[in-house]
Amino acid sequence: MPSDKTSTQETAVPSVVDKPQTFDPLGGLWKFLTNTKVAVVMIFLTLAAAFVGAIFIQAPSWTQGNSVEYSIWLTQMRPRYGALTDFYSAVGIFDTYNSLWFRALCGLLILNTIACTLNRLPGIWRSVFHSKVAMGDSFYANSANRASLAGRIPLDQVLGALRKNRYRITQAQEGDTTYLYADRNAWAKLGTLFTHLSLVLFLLGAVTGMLLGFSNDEVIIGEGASWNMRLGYDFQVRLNDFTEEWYAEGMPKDYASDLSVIDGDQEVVRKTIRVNDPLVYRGVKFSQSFYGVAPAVEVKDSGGRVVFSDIMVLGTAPARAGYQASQVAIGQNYLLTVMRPKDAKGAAAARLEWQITGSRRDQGAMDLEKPVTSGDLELNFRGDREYTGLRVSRDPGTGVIWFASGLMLLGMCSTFYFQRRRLWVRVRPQGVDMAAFADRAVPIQTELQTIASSMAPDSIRPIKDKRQK
Amino acid sequence: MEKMSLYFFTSGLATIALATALYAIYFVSRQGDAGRFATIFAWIGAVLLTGSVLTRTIAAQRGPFANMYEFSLSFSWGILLAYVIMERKYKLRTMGAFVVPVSLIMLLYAMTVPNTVQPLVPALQNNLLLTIHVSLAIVAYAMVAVAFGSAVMYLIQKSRNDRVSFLPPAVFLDNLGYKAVLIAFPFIFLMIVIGALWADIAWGRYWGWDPKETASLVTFLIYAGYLHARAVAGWRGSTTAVLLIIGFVATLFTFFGVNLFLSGLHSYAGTS
Repeated sequence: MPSDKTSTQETAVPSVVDKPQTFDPLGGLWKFLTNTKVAVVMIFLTLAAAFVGAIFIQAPSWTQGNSVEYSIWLTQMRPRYGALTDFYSAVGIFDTYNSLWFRALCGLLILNTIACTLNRLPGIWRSVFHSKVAMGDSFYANSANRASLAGRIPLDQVLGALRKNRYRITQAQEGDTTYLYADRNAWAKLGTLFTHLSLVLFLLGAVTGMLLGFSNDEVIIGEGASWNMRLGYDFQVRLNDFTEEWYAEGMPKDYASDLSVIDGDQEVVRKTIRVNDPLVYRGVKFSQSFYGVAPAVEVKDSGGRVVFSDIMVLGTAPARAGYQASQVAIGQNYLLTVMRPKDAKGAAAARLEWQITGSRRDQGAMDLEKPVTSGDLELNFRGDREYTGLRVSRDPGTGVIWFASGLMLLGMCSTFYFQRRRLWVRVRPQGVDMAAFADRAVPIQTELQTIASSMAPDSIRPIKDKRQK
Repeated sequence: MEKMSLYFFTSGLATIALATALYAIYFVSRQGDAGRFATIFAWIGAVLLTGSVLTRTIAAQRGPFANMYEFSLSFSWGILLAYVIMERKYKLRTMGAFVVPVSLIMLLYAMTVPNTVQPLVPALQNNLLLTIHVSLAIVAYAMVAVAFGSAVMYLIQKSRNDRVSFLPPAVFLDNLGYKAVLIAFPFIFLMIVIGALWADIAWGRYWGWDPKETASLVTFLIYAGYLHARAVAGWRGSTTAVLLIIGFVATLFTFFGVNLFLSGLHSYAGTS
């Protein structure tokens, strides 16, 4: 930890044991990051933060980066969250998972994980790959788990018993003494590296997706209309037909969009997509997300040229109470707004109110297929049409995510279900001594006795250890 | 078949209610007879629920994994089955007083929601992933319930300094809870991964901070915290036992709370 008591200590005689404390922010940070208690606390802090996001209603995706939509949404939340609404909004509670503090917590947790793993790596590595084979007398005499056999026991018999119990053996010879080091499930110790490496990979996958991928959650295409895929792809997706089916019970049974991909003026793919069956073209995924019905509007200029012809999804623009509206820019000069009462049926649904703003203002109402003129524009309500709502996305990070998942599972299972056991054996003419270490859950003393018994010819019984219970 | 499943359900419910009462009596009075009968009824209950799950599967032509009634039935069945097996393996009858009621509560809850066989909405029309995803959850939740039972018993035993003769020693209970988590944890993880895989196919993204996703991640992290607290920080006993109880509450919230109180992409699994 950083400290400013250093100056006084430095004048004192430097002792080998008591290293003088110097101002060492990096060392301090390392100490902090490699502290496992800090790691546990970090897990719980991140947890609490994620929990906050689960408890509070999160602002829907369409309000992101759209302050008008966001303030409308915030108004709807006011009765629920009362006077604290603005405070919550300011600290980012309504957008927890994109907030700086949540990201910072996640980042810190990952940093913590990397540091702890790196810190433990040399120790784990040594214990798995470089264990001392020859141990001295006191090691065999004082080890918590041990067994001894008196009398000459052939080395082959010792090796055989260990191999039968799936131990891997390293051998060393010193005069007439043979030292054996036997290890079982040593590799399982690497499991913890796998699980923690996978956490880093999860982050890498997520960041890859964020930086190199994209996602548009609300691509709306009316029947017969096309949508341009930009972002350097330059192909089009056309909705040929949208179908929906209902169960007799009134639940949706199936909804499907018959899509065509037009790349370079040619239809290259045609597929009917469903919720569980997306279309992927050049790495871009088209997922069926939602659907609906919206009025189709056509706008012609004074020369009779069609300047706009598409559906206008109601409820996507601010409207007066009881109404739903939609807004679109017509050319450079005008903004067209159409609206109609919510849940309009029959005659009310066959009529759209319209408003033109921009370089001039005008307003009125239009009926189904009865064009109206406003200045140099002719507006026509062509009737309600079905549309499909797609999520268009590309995420090059998913491969990393699935790989990380596999790694995590592998690491978990090796750590949980494969306990490591280590035996040190000394074979001498006067007898065999064994000492064992194992993970906590292993009844190693019992196992050791069994192995010892299987080494000994019937005439030799294991020496009873007085300290045993 | 649908009718038959309901008969199995009702008789199972009655049997498990009886078993719960007997386990409670056994716990309080330590009457050996009550305990023996409790075990017998728990097994009969497990068999009846198995019957209910199987006939429901036949009636619906898919696993009983599509609405709150079916989830509750399946989870209740999983918890009971895990318990009776544990009881047999570890000769641990007193735990019934804590785990079997969980199974009973789930069944009682199932009684309050519509129980007709409903067809699958489009989002769920992926039989393979639906079956794997929910099966993993059943195993995970069952083991988590066992861990919860051990934690409660641990705390009781600990507060009496290991003097409660009819409960196993505290060390054993501490270990049992740990073992249950060792099984539950990979299952929770795999359930989330399979869910993410499915979300990637059906919704076009593997993770979206949907309330159910977040809640299950929180549950996962609680048990991750428990495992690290034990293995790395060396915590034992009461603190970790409390973590197991918190983890179980989080699990219940993930299962019930998210579907009932929060709207999200998993809300088709709700009561309506």
